[in-house]
Amino acid sequence: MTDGVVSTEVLDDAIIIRPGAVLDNTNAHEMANAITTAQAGDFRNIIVDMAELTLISSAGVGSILGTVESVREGGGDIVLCQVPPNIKHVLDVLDLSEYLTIMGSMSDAVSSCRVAG
Amino acid sequence: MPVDMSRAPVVTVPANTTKDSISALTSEVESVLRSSTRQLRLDCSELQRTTSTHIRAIIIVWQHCCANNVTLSLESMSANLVRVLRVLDLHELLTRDKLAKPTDRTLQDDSPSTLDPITMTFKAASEAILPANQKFTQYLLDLGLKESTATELQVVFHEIVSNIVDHSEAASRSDIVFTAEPSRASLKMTFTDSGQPFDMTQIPDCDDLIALSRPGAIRGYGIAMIRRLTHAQDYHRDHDGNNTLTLHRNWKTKL
Repeated sequence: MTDGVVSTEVLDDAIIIRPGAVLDNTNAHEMANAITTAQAGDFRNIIVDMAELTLISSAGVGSILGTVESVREGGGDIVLCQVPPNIKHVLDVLDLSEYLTIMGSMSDAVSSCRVAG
Repeated sequence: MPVDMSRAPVVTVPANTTKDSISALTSEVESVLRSSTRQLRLDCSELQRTTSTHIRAIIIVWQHCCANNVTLSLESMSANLVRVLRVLDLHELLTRDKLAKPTDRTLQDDSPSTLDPITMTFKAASEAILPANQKFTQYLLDLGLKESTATELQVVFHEIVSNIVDHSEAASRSDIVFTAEPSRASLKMTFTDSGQPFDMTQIPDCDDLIALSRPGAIRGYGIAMIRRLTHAQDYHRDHDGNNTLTLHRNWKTKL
């Protein structure tokens, strides 16, 4: 297990944020900053690629919960994709799966952003 | 298998829905239902400020879907809308189709196949968190727990240990002593440290993360998560300044 390093990639008109293997209090602020920076850069829809994620803490969840309303009020959304089954299970138990937008693959997420964009 | 809703038609509830315009929404829904779809997605993203008319519109759409045996998925709900639906006791009803799928956790028995206890002692320091977490996760898997159950407990462990480390003083890092004692009924987890006292059981009872969410608020969800992922919590501080937090996770009770 490695520390989570938040990285950002622009793919056409979508922006993809990757939190790394761990999303907890060590990188939650970095994650939230990446989201607000993307929003400030006129990316309405923000894709969070969770493919590498093995552990999410309350601060990790908070980095998304604390930013999603603002993104939605701006007419966009935070789209989680490639969510590993165990992370999805945690989101299910926390009753967040319906509240947050979760897509299966990266291509689904990119497509949904184009449709919504 | 869960229902794949990704290709289902989408109908949006407009923010400016009025009593008079509900009929237009209903007509749109009926039109979609006539296409023989088995699923319908109701986009609620415009409902940032929820009114009684919005709720009425959602219920009417839900009624039409029920009457046509169509699975309805409420999507992009704002925190405000979720809160209102929960206060009105409608949230579970309106999202019941999803909750009733075969993955329903109420039907699961999460008990382990072996009952070996473990004690771990490690520094209350940030660099010790992930190695300890890895060791605990491997222990849970060695017990024969399902991976999903192990993940839940891994999250709890990480949450508690991170919190102890956050509240310990760098100059006097104490040890954290952790024990896990599984039985046929439950897992008892005990965390002992000598840092600052913090009694989570005294924090007002709220386990709804969406209700707690606020723009810009990254922290403040930990206790709600622990309450969601365990069945009982107890805190004690002794005369020597040692904090003991005990958590119980039952194997056969719904989280």
